[in-house]
Amino acid sequence: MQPIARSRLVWISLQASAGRGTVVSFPQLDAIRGKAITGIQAFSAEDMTVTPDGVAVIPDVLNMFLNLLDGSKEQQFRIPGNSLRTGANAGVWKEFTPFVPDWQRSYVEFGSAVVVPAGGNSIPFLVFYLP
Amino acid sequence: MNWHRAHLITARIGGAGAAVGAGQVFRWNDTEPIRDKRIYGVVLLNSGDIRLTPGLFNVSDAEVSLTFFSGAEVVHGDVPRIAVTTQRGGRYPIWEPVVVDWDRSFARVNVAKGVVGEEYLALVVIYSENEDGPC
Repeated sequence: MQPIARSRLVWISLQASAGRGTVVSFPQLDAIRGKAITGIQAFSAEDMTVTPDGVAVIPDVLNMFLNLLDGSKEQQFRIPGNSLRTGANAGVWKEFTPFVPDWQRSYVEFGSAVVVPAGGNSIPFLVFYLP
Repeated sequence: MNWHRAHLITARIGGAGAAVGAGQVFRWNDTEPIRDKRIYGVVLLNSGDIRLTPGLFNVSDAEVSLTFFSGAEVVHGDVPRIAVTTQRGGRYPIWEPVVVDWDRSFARVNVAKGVVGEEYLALVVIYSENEDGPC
């Protein structure tokens, strides 16, 4: 695995229960906007219980897929959520040939219904990027 | 995953017997030997790795995220505890070498907890003495 130049935790917030095919976009990510990313990890409640804003982390990411787009080009399409959890993959994180994602267009998609409790859920990602 | 040099630093979580609230931040002690050194990675120890710090205080398993600055830049922001332990197949992240500003860098507690006695986070810092050090 390549050395990590920079890393930053970002998260998607779920405020309401989601159904099959529901897509949720990333918030505005000023700190990493325009940066080429080299890898990513996802976490479930098994790894961390809350994000730094105090919102409970989603119980599992088994039915989640990550889509990273560069403009209209699908650079990484439907990456299964659990393949991004290092806890489920012997500590190995997903590495990419560096590219600059368009975070406004990138999104998470659900393959089945997700029940979100009052107070919401978050899906955290640790993004590795170049300065 | 070559440890060129390693140094253990600690951060005291809360006061003696005091509860720690979510969002509280704590800074690192014992950083003098690694100031201005090039840092290659960090490993956060669990109480299952070592029970006591060299100062004979309990090692804390508090749910924290770690933020590291280099100058005014956040180089690694809100890194979750699980991402810098060796509990995942023994792997931990190796960084591009970076000089960390330890006065700015901190650990933030994300989940409130009670503290019995005193407890400390324990962080192994992997570093190089000079620019020729291996990665």
